Amino acid sequence: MQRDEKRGKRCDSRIVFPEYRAKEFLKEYAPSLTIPRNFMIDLKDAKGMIEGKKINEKIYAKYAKKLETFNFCAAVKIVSDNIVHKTDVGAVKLVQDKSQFFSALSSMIKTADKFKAREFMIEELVSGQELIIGIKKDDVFGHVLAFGIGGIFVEILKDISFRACPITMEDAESMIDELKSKKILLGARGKKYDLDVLKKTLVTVSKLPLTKEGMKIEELDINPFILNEHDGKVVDARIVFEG
Amino acid sequence: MEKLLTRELCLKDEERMAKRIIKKIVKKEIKKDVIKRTAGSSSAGKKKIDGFFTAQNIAVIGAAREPNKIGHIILRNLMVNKTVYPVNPNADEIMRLKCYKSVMEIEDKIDLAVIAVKNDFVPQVVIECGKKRIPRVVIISSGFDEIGKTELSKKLKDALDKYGIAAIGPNCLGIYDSYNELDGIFLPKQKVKRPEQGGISFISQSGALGATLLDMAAERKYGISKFISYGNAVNLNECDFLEYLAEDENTKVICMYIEQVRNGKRFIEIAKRVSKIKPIVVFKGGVTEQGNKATLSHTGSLAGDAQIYQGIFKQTGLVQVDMLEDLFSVAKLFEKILNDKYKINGKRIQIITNGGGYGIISTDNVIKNDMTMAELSSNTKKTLEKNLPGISIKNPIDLLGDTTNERYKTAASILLNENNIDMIMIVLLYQTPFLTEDIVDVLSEIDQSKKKPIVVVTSRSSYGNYTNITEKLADKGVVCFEFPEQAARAMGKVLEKIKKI
Repeated sequence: MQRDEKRGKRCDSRIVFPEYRAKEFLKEYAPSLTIPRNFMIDLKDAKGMIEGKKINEKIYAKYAKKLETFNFCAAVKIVSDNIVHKTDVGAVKLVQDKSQFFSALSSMIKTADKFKAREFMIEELVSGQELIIGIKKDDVFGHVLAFGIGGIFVEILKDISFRACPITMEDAESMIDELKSKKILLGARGKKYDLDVLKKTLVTVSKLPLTKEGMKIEELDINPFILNEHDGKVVDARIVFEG
Repeated sequence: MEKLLTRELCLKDEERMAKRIIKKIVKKEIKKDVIKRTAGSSSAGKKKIDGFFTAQNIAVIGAAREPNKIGHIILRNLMVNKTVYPVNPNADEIMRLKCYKSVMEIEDKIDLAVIAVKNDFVPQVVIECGKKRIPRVVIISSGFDEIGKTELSKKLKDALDKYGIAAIGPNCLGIYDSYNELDGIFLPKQKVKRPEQGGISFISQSGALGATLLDMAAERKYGISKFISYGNAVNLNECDFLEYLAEDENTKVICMYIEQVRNGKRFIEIAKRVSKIKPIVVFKGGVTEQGNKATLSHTGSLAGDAQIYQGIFKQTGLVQVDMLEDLFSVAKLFEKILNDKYKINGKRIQIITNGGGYGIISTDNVIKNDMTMAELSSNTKKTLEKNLPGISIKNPIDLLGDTTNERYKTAASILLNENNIDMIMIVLLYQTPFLTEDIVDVLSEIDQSKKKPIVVVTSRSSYGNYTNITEKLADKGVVCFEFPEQAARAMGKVLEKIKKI
């Protein structure tokens, strides 16, 4: 865990991995999970790009191609170890075209400075149903996997299912089946979701605590995990390790 | 008069001795047999716990002369079938039995000690048991972890560990075994009826709740194999008992009342294994935050998050019930289906009723509990129409208020041969004019045909001899419910699990 301590932000005796570090961790220890395509823009570049009255095309050219592949539909996120909940401090903005992209950047520079950020993360927008997948270390049963449908279903209706880690595909199926709001995933309102991807994701995440590094997970949130007809992606993640 | 009584008591004693000797011989034979059969596979854990139930020589430490004291009631209950040795430094004789100052004074070998002394004395008493080489103790005394006395609890644990004594409790109600005729619970018989022999075993973290359910089981004629109230579980805990009951031949279904699990990982491993062998029906206390606070003071540790428990129960194959009244009725239905060896393929229910309203409520509850209403084949429909003129053949089948016993017989006999039905729910409103008590035989015959599992819903009525009908049906082994909701909940739980076995 030595290496992680250097990478993560200490909070009490615990180590918190914000989004980009959590995603790095997941890439390494759960490579089968899909993370949306993204790239970084240096804060200096971001400032340079929008400093004058006109956009600095020279700097912009460095990133233009990547942005075009997203068709300018992207999430602009401030990358900082000092931010735990991005939405609370306005550290994430969704954009649909080029001009929205530039105005998002310029409106977020101040916040980026405030939290001593050095980078922006630009991530492709993913559409589908927002889900929550998490791990919690329980005093009695050890690591337990939690699963629910994002938004009011988890927060207000407490419609979540739990299983002890690791789980089987069968467990994953019964976790979905247990939710009162499961009809949303079974194709209400004519929408379809790839439940096989979801089940495989639940199993994969549930196996994280089996690894040497994963053993020290105290909390893990994949929120949201966005599922659609073709695939499911880890859009945001956060991990708390024991110190 | 007194002489007469004494003589009678002596005679009874002799009779008891004779019975005991015969029993011992038989038991030895059985034991040999069991050892042969389980050689190699029998675990030390099973033997350790089995000894609690097969104990013959039992010391009651804290035996009391006063009839209302726990130490008196236990002695009285145990002495019916066992050789008991009262221990109390302040008495020479209790109920005509020689009383010992300490267990160490007893010359005979002691299989089990039941301890009902004040909490502070328990560790010392356990040490004496250790010196006397008593292998097992049931500690009834309360006043340990559950009231924050962790140090005393630790002392007790150390004493048990030092002498390698297996212990149930403390802060428990005791143990009961209908097959070994062991009655070691501290509630008087006139207040808690003891259930007959049967296939349900019950382990309970709470003592009083356990006894209340036991009483209810007896009243409903549910047979019980073993009852273990394990309280604070300082030594043996729910995992040990689950493992033991999995191997116990008299136990067909396990019921559990728990507030929290001590060792989650071990529980998961054992529960997964045991639930593949026998159904485990569980009720968890402390599912709200307030309820959890009550468990903190009740059993000495904070219960975990109810939702996590719910998930773990599902994952390990346990059947969780949300209502206390369902705990035993679900177990009873399991026992019935396993005993009669029904092969069940689905959750298709046929309802027969003599009241339209009850038919509707029953249908609602079949659907609510994730089952489906059976659809009859055209052949069955034709046969029913032919044999039941004037009755509209659908599901539910309403035999109407003027029904006779015969109509029930006709309808049920035809439906027993229908392939599209997995279970039949028979609603019997005994208040209607033409039904007679012979309906008991009619329904029992249908049940005994063992073609399909049936449950009977029959209402309570002061005029309708409700108790008689239910009791008579229960005596014949028919599973009865008072309300359709209860029946449907039990059916739903059982069919869901049976499907997976």
